[in-house]
Amino acid sequence: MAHETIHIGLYVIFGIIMLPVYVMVLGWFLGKPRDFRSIALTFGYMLVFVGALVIGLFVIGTTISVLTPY
Amino acid sequence: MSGVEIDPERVLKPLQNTSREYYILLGLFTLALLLFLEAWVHQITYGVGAVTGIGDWGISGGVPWGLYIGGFVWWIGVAHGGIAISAAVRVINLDKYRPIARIAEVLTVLALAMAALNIVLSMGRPDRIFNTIVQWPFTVHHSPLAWDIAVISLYLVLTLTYMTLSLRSEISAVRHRLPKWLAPLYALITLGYNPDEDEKIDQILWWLAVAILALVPLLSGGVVPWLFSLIAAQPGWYGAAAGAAMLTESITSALALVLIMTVVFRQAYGWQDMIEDDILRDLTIVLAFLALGTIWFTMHDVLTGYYIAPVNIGALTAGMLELNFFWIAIGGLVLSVVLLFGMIGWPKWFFNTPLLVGVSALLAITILNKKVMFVVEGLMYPTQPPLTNLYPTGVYSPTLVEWILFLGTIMLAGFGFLVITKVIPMIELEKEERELLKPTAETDGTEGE
Repeated sequence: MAHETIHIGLYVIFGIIMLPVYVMVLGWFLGKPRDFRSIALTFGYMLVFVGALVIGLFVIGTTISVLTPY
Repeated sequence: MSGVEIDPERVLKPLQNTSREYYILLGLFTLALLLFLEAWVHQITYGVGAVTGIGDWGISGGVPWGLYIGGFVWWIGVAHGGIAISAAVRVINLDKYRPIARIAEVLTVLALAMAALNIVLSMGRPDRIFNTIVQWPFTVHHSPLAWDIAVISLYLVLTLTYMTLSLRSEISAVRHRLPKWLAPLYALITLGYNPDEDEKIDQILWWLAVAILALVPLLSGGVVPWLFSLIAAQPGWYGAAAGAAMLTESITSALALVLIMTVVFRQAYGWQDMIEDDILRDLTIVLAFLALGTIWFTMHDVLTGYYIAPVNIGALTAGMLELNFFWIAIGGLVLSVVLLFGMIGWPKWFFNTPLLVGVSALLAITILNKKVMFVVEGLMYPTQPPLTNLYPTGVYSPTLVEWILFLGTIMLAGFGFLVITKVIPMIELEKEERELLKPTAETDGTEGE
């Protein structure tokens, strides 16, 4: 099967698996008390964790690939 | 609000005092960690194919996935079950189990990290994972690893956020009693903390817990089994009950490990009065039924595979029934179920904590055995294209390097527990409990940092 641009996997991940995440974010914005500072703080932490994962992998991966042949 | 008697002084004790036994344990785990690093350097230096029993896709034959991917499936199951316990405490107010919620949370974070590490071990080098992330939009169509990475990253970010947010008000209230050398870390956790935010953070945490609980069946009973069932449909990797079976196994091993860690903390810090026997007995009942469910799903596999199954599934089932590992797994499950129901029905005769820990360990190892068999068997008999075109029927036996690296991930998780015990309180303290720890004349020197 040729690789299509839009595949069933994308519908599964973004249409079904991520549903609880969308509902969670809606709950944060619609639920009381309304406090957008805390929501922004939560997104901030999430971004920091994503950044730490990606940058950490990049640094460790690059270091190891420079040091070893495999 | 709670009926649980928590003594905050004793919860903070591990952060303030360190016993001789702790140092001995830390030394042993450090030695194991060094052995792990040595084996990893060896694998990186000579290549995965050269030092493991794993064959390369299309080159050397044999199974391309082995103990590492079996270990990945096991760790990810442990992670999902661990956080399910913690999230359930928050979502449905199971306040009785609050004393074990953070132990389960920490287990989840460590298990997710170990799941990711197993993928790194299987792929050979961490930069390949980085490449998979960069290539994700293009590989998500066909790469199971792209899905793995998406699942692990999503879960890791959600659970880390959950843990950090739940620590903000707590750390800020008891900071004067925490180790001073960790001040930068505590400053990061409590960044911009304001007591007015507590109510909203609680609401955010509740929704986070709801999302995490909903994701458990979607990921552990969905994406992970789908990863296998959608790849070339190998025999043994698909079936109507595959998702439910994997979810049951995952939660069984997770609960077994939560039980073990709970008992370890109770014993090590004398928390028997805070984590009561009652909690252990309740968890025993749940574990008994989960283990029974695992046996039931195994019967599904055997019966449907043995009785007029298509040729390839029939051959795989027949092969599985001849494997010693299969019967060791069945033995482990049956023995565990008998003992667990004995503990429930005749607690005076059967219920004792060391036996419960033993049964929990037996179950966790049995499920690991099943997961590795599940991964390897489908690949040993490539009966469906495109795998038939890639490599011939193979054999698989993990090498010493694989064993050291996989067991090393268990040691690393233990090491992680030892470290985290010295960084955050392992039982969540509620407002009224934190009040009891308010700074006194001697302690308020660091207050307000």
